[in-house]
Amino acid sequence: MKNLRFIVYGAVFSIILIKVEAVSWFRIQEMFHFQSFHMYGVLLSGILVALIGTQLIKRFTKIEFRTKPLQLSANVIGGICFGIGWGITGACTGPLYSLIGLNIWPTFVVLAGALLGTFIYAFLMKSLPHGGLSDKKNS
Amino acid sequence: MKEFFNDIVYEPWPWWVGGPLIGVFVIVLVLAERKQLGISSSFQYVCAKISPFKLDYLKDTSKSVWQFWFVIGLVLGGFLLYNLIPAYEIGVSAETVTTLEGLDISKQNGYVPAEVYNVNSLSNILVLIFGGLMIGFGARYANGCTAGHAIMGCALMSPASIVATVCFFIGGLLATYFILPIII
Repeated sequence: MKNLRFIVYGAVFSIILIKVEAVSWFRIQEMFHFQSFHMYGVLLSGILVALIGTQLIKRFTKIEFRTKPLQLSANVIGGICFGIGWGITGACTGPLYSLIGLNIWPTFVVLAGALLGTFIYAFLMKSLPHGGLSDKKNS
Repeated sequence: MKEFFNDIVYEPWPWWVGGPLIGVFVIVLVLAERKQLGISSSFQYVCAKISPFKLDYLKDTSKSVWQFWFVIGLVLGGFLLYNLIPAYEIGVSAETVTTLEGLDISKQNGYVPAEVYNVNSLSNILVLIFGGLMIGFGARYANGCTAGHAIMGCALMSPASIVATVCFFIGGLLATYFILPIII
């Protein structure tokens, strides 16, 4: 039950994403057509503030961060697949849930697709390349 | 002061308000909860709970419990705004409106175009399933999504996250210029 407080965090994050229009299919298309600075501003300023914050945390506290291991083929192929889904639906994972809350019911179809995609990955994981492109073994 | 308050509640926020707030949110989550932002693990968690198959990938999801509640919160946040705040016009540049008209997609007063998010047409349902499938498969294969890689990972200057973020963008451009014009 102690995890229930993350509902509050999720609601706050969702409100930020919605108010800054990061959940809008139109804004995502605008970004991929390079027709406005809006989404670049959102992402770059978000990353910049988080970068400064994490640097300060590293310097002044004992909190340690985990970074994900570099798995070149997984990061590249998986990344391109994710990007294709992002471009088509105009929703990455956070906005996907926000859109459902916003009463846009067709988004359930996208979510069902995402769960199906996760199952496909779970089935294929062992036969997919993960490490360096020339690395036959899975890392 | 009242005008300022009204703008915050009833108007969309400019990027220089919402973007930095995302960064602040990431920091608060680390300081208060020792959690690094990540959302797509919620797919793994849900699949593990509903899976009729025993798969290695779905074995241990105890670390993602908080992410499950987090995404319930994401839905709740949308639900609250939908019910409490009257709908406002979504901003988008005039140029984009023209570009999308070329694809027979009109700008509407909503977050998504009815021409794409349409469950009355089988072909549109297939497009949405395909898009979702790529999101789920891609995010889990790449070991993260826009939250975990593009925001959290890039802020930590992680090589894996920077590679993944560049590839998210390449995929998005492929979808925009080559796939959407064909399937819509």
